[in-house]
Amino acid sequence: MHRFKGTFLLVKSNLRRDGLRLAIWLGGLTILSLALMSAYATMMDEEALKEIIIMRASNPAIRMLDSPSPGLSLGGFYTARSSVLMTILIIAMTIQTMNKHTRENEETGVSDLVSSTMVGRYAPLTAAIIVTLLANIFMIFATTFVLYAYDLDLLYSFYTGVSFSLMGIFMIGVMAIAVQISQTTSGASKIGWLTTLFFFTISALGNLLGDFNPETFKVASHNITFLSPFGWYQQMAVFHENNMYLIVPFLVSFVILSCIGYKLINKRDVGHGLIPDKSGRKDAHKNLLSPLGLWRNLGRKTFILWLIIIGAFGLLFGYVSDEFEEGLAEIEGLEYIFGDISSTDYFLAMIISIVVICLLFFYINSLLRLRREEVDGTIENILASGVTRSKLMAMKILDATFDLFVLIILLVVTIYIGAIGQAEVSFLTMLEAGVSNAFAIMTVGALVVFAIGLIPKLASAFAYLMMLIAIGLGPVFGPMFNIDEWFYNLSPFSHVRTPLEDFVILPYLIMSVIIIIAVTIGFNYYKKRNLELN
Amino acid sequence: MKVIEMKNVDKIYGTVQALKSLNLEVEKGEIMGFIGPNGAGKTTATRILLGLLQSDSGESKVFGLDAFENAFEIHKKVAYVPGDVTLWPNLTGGEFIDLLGSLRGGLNRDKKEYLIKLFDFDPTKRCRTYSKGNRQKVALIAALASEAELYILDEPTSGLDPLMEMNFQKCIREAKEEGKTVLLSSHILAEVEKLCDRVSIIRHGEIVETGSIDELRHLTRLSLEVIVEKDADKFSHPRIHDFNIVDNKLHFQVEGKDLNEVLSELNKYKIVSLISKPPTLEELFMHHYGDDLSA
Repeated sequence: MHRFKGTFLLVKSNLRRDGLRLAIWLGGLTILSLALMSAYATMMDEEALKEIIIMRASNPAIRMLDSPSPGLSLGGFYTARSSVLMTILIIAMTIQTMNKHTRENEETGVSDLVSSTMVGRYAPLTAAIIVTLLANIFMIFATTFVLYAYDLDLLYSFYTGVSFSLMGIFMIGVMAIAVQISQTTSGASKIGWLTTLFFFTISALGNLLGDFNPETFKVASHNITFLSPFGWYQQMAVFHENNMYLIVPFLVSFVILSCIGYKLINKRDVGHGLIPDKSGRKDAHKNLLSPLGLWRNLGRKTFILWLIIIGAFGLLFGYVSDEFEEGLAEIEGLEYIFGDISSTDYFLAMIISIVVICLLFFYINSLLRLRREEVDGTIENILASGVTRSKLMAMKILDATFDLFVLIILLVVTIYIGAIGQAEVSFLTMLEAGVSNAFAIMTVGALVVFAIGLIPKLASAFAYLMMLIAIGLGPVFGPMFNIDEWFYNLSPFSHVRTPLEDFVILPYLIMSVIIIIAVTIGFNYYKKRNLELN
Repeated sequence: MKVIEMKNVDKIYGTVQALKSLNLEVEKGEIMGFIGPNGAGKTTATRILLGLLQSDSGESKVFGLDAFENAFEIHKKVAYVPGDVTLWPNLTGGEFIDLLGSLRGGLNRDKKEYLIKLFDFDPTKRCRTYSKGNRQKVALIAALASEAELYILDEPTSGLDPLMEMNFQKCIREAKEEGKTVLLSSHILAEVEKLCDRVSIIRHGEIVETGSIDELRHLTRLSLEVIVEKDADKFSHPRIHDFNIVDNKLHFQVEGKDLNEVLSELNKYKIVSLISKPPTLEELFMHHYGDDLSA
């Protein structure tokens, strides 16, 4: 047992170190599931429920992204509609938490110190598993609580929670192996996500190839779905068949995977993986050798990830675009007067606005990198060479803005491609929606540049506050809070033209002036101030 | 020609005065040692010279240009090795060396290869896998392979093993032969003693002593070991320090200016043998920092 010595102490220290991050994850997931449940519960009576199940379950493409409908019930619909989102987020939490308490400690050298004390060889992995397991168990009760709060059966609500968290528990086993194999945190994450994608694709194919029975409102998936843990939890068919024996393959695979993880610990050294880090280039590629090249290189991985996400979003929304037209009547009986623009166009333009607002996160984070590199000290090397601060900053703005426009254009193009054969959509209407929102994003970005120059220590707090104001008071969430028009006007997104309005140039002129002034001040102060080095 | 010239430079961080009327001059082709303990202000001074920080008052010039206003022009001729080298984890060492070289305006390829061999460095690894010593090698190779005229090195060898440190000293001597100027901030005194033409000692943000090591030696005490013919135990003198007698040998220290006076007193006891040792840099250093230690 000496190999597990110190596990309890490590669990305590992990929880203390990581409590806040976990609390945010768990709180966020609970609130999200509450929001989803409340949306479904208030929006739908039984007729509407029938209609939406038929609409979603009879479309093979949507079946890929939903869990198969187990039958006609609000609980059944909740699991079918939101379990994929919830389980993926639970998996994200699991991957991150396992990584943080194993691989990351080895990368930062913390585990060298820990390993040199009276701590058993298996204790760090065991402590990571226990902490992640606790988080997943918490989610079982949180989900139970949410569903039960909406008058669903207590036992079935509990089963639902169990079925979601079992995916997380399966991934704990996968990560126990992944962190032994890879030498880096990002490598271990990659193994985790590729495994998730692989199994998700199997179950999605199983659902695609299955059949929908409009009499029983049940989707019978193809048997290949049983090759995937996603299939196991989905086939539990909670609220209807309640096949809880499917817990068994989860628990068996969790035990087997973890045991393999422990075995692998003995086959490698602390701080190293089974697969050594690949050797890289001996000399730099010529594209790297300039400030712009450097920024491109540093942001490349994140950018590629966004390209994939935005591209997939676009194709998906395009593909389901004809559903928007049908779905329009469902939404609180609102009637729109569309003029010369089709309802699909209107909806896609709205979707673009929402996705583009997500791009605000990307843009602001990309700009804040200038400040992060200053804090980390890497920038000292660069500024001590022949690069001026103005150039470094200008190239960062260019880099971030270029990425922003590529992502917006990709979104519009993929929606257009996805919509081929579905609904008639106007490419120009969508492009205009994207570009006019980009103006608002760049306005917030300019204020961040201003902050990096003028108030470097507060820059990131200021940036996130600006982001909160721009999104929270903007057209997507603003109306929910019943705020004064004065507040509503604070968000640049409130001044962006929606497809139904006439084009007014004034807001764009004002935004341009704000951008120019803020960036100029930002540059001037950035050039003149002390670097805030450690 | 003066390559570095700092006059009455003050720098205050909040309530802490990091530099107090600091004066520092480095001539072209000279290796200047810049020594002082942690927190004395060495790094602050070098960062002001690089235009990364702005001084609160005083004048800082490099190649006759203002260090902050003309940072860009100056950097074309300067190579810098920071004390704590932070690298981007995903780039390889080789990529980083090329990047810095290129941003500095050029890199001598042959020299880079030569230095990689000399420092026994593997440039294909990702920077996150390098130890402290290897991270320092990245910055050192990038600096030494550049065509800079001035090297500003902030504790460049604190992570190197003795063999690599010897190679480093070799490189610095070669740089001097090529007529380059070096500002070497360090607290490895043996290294400074071997390499530097002149030394500036900094304390609490002030330069307390500047000069060649020989000049500085005159300012401090000599160690003497003397054997006399008679009554060794009766010898005493108000100007001697740390006096003791072992095996009939007198051991003591004396300031250079008092040497004559003490020797004439000693003569009365008939000197049989006398060994005088110059103080090491470490002794010089301790001389200036002694109060800090005893406090």
